[in-house]
Amino acid sequence: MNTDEKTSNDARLSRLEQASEWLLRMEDPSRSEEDVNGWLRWCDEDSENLVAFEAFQTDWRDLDALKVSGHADGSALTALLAQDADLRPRTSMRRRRLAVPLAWAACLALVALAVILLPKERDSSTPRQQVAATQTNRAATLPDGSRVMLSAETSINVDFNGSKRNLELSAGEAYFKVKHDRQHPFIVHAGNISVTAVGTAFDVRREPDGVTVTVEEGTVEIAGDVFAKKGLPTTWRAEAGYQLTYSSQGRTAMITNVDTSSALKWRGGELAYVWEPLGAVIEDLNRYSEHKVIIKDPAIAELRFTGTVFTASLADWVKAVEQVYPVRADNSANGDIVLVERR
Amino acid sequence: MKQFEPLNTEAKADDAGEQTRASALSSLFREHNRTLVRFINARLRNEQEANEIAQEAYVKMLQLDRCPGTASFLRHYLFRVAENLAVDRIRQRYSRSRLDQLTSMDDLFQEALAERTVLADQELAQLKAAVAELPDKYGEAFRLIKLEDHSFLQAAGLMQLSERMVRKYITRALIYIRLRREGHSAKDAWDKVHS
Repeated sequence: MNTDEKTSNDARLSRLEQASEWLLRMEDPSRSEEDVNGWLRWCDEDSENLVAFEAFQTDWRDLDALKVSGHADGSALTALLAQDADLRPRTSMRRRRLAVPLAWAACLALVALAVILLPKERDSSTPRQQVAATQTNRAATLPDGSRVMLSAETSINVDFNGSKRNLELSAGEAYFKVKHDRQHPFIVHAGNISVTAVGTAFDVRREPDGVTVTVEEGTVEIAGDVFAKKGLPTTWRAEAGYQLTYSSQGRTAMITNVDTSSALKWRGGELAYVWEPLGAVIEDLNRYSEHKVIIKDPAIAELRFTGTVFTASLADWVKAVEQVYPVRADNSANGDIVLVERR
Repeated sequence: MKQFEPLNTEAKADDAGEQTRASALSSLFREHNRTLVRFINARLRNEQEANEIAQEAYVKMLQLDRCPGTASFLRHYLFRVAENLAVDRIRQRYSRSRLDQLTSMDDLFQEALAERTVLADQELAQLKAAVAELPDKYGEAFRLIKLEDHSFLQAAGLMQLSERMVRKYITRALIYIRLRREGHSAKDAWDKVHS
């Protein structure tokens, strides 16, 4: 061995020593801020330091495998675990990685059942489709590859036969992730307005007195059908991060900046209930809300609720409850909402 | 309801500051992501979760209202954020595993074993062999600390050695195992550890 080789060997060994010592310190649950700062300084000194640390950390994790396979003692439990040890970690890791795609696939499978084919005319090449979601959120892939997520009590009609991709949202709320296709504009008709996108992600919600469009990605163009007053623009553009609220009464629109992730929280399918006591639903709801919903009359708590609660719009949900149940909502001074029986 | 107006132009005025911050954060990400993942992994003991937490920490940083000062302070802050997220994750893990007890044993096992590393049979055999090759004191210290989860203090008591010596046995055992994994012969590896 020549001198150069010996020096580099020594350097490597001393790096390994330092790295293994840092590993023990960093893995110590009671590591201090000083340990962390010292370790960071050591990492900064030489990029090879972190490489060595990474190797030891990998070893340290891998060595846990010996723990399971009963190297330490031969107790019955350890032996039992050992039988599974060779198979289980692998499957569990695989499952974990697949979890998200599988969840998506499961949604699609459910929707496949919910897609009803409605043959329009005998000669039409692609049949019209209706996609409907009843109790909980549903996801579907449309014939063009776009994805749609429907909230509870929502249905859309899809007509992709012409040069445009036309969809009609008759009620409820739907989120669209549009497949880019400049030749075929993607148009969602919602009452008085239509929302056009080329390739983007947006959400359309129908309300009794208007429509709300929330843009998550790209830009959409929103057009009203008739315009009452002169001088008003006939179309609006909304960019990502903006929400357009259209009032069907005044035929006016307002655009505001929103946090889309919270505005579109419903897509997560949070708080979907089937035949649950209203009391339990409200209890859940109160966990997410600054203001509480308080049930004054115990009978209200026993009412059965099926549907989705959108954490983003507590007020809307309460309004809906008022319409469906013999219940009145009173606002109290501190912002809480009190539910009383309507007689 | 307010009438429609052209999109707010003031919102764009901050773009320049926004971009400086975004670029500061992206260089922070490039330079420190590996360190950050190691740092979190030391707590969470799970590579995938460590990566997730690192991502989450950056998102948190991007959501800050203002840029917290110089690059070194930024890094310090990033690591703090990540540490907090890791602690939250561990808490979640505990409550989740308690929930799992109520649902199914399978889930519970999965939760407990998810933290174990996936090893090919060959790698496992190699590791086992390397550990078995450790001489008495090294092997004993390794068993107490790594396989039986004793603290250094406890192991020192059991072995009637100083804590410092136990640490020394462990670090040397680790270097030996590393060298064996890198393909050095048993003799070669042992010579190096003792050189």
